[in-house]
Order: sequence, then structure tokens, then C-alpha cells
Amino acid sequence: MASVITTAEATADAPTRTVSARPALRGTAPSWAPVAAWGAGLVELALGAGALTQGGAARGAGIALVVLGAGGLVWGAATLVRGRIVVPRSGVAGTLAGIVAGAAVLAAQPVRTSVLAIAAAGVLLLVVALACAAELRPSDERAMDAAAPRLWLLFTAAVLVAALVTPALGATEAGRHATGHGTHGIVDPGHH
Amino acid sequence: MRSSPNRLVATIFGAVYLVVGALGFAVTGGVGFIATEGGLLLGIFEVNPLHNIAHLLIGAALLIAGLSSVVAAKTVNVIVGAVYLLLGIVGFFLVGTALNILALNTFDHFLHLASAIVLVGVGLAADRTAKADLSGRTV
Repeated sequence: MASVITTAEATADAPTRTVSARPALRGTAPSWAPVAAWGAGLVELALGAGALTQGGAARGAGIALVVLGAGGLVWGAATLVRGRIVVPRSGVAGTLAGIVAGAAVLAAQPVRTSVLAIAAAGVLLLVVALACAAELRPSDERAMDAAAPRLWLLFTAAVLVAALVTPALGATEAGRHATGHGTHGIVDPGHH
Repeated sequence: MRSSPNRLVATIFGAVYLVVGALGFAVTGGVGFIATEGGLLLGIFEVNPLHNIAHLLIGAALLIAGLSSVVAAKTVNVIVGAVYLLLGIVGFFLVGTALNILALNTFDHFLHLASAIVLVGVGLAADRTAKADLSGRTV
């Protein structure tokens, strides 16, 4: 017969193979934060890839965005696997660094950088930063996070993030280059 | 199956992708097998015959895994989700090029990205006791 453990026991002794009343759903609670991190990571990668082709400060910020974007993808996966916000202090630092790097790219290349993509990444990074900050705040109620996972929450987060990320990716330098390949034949008739 | 999010998601997504794959052939009658400009499914999703076959294969894999076991569903969810995530990234930069052999458009990317997040998310987060249950027969 399956044993039932309390939430406090579950958080204090997470590695043990205990079986709760709802083992299948346990640990999917913080689903919106990693999903937001994935979305932000994808946009950061696209923005970084576009900035890498430039020179000077934009190139440096582009490298930072690529690294932070990849880090965001890994952080999201780790958070989902562990069922809780992992390394929240680094999470806050990483999100703030992402916002600064995005602003730096925009400042260095204002014409080539999409404001929509920067804004989308900023919103998603803010969501992640708030989740990490909430995890850092001392509270006895934090254990509650691991007990309210819902599939519909993951679906909703996925649809919202995809709806935000898809146009943002298309608006990046790399995305514009991709969609522009089909229009190479256009010639301005006004020039000789 | 109802107690496992992975089996539930794999079964539902598998069935939907099978239907989408079959319906796709209705709008790709005169379209080349790997044409970069395909027909529009439901008026928005651009597909070609190769894209339809990919949908059928992915749908079949998900449905079979969902109906089989938790471990199979979890594994296939993560693999298919990762492939969709990769397609969501790489595919974006193939639009408008000759390499766009799946005739992908923006709505396809939206669907692939949302599917990837759900499949990988459920695969990584849910049913983490599945292997222990399988080996130890604790449930």
C-alpha cells in the first residue's frame, strides 16, 4: 500500500523514493517560470545571434545574450526536473544580466535591433526574476509551491509564451534575414 | 492512463497529430513532396506531403507510447518535444530558403513551439517516480 507523506516531509527529504497520494503530478508546480525562461532563452539566442555579426559593443552583448539564453534553457529544464526553482540567486542575476545585455544591444544597434524582441524577452525575464526573488524570500509557505501542479497551467503557459516568442523571433535580425530570402529579386526602378 | 500526465498528453497529442497528418493530404494534392510552398491546413498551417508524413509518424509514436506505459510516454514526450523545440529554432531561419523542405510558416512555428514546451515540460516534470515504480513495484 502506498504511503502518504506530508508536504513538509516531502521537501525535507526530497531524494527518497516516497509515494504521495498524487505522485504523478507532484513537482510540476513552478511550470510558468521555466516556460518563461525557455521563451526568454530562445529570444535571447536569436537576438545574440543577430548581434554577433556586428562589431564593437553589440558583439560583446551578443555573446552575453547567447550564453545567457543557453543558460536560461538549461535552468528551465533543471527547474522542471527538480520540481522547484533552482539556484534562485543566480536566476535573478542572470535575468538582470539578460535585460542589461538586451538594452546594450539595442543601444549599440538601435536600427537593426527589434524593440518587440527586446520587450518580449524583458517581460519573460521579469517573470523569471520575480519567481526567483519569491523563492529567495524567507517563508514557511514556500513548500506549498510543490503541491499545486496542474496540466492546464502548463498548457496556458506554453500557449502564452509561444504566442509572445513566435513574433519576437520573427522580428529579430536573424528572423528578418530568414524571411527576406524570398524577396531578393526586387529592383528599384528609379535608379540608373 | 488518467493518473499519468505523460500518458494523457502523449495520447491526446498523438491522436491530434495523426488527424492533422491525415487531413494535411486533403490540401496538398498538387504540392511537391518537399515543396517550400505548401497548401494551407485549416487556412493557416502550411504543409507539404513530407510535413504530413512527419505529422503521421510523430502522432503514431506519441499515441503508441501513450497507450503503452508511463516510461514510454515520458521518453517519447521528451524526445518529440526536444525535436520540436529544435525545429522551432532552426526552422525559423529556414523560412524563405530552399532548405525549407517542410514548408514551414509562422503558424507552424507557433504550433511547434507550444507543442515543444508542453511535451518537454510534462516529460521532465511529471511522473518522476515512474522508473522507481517500475523497478520497485511500489504502486
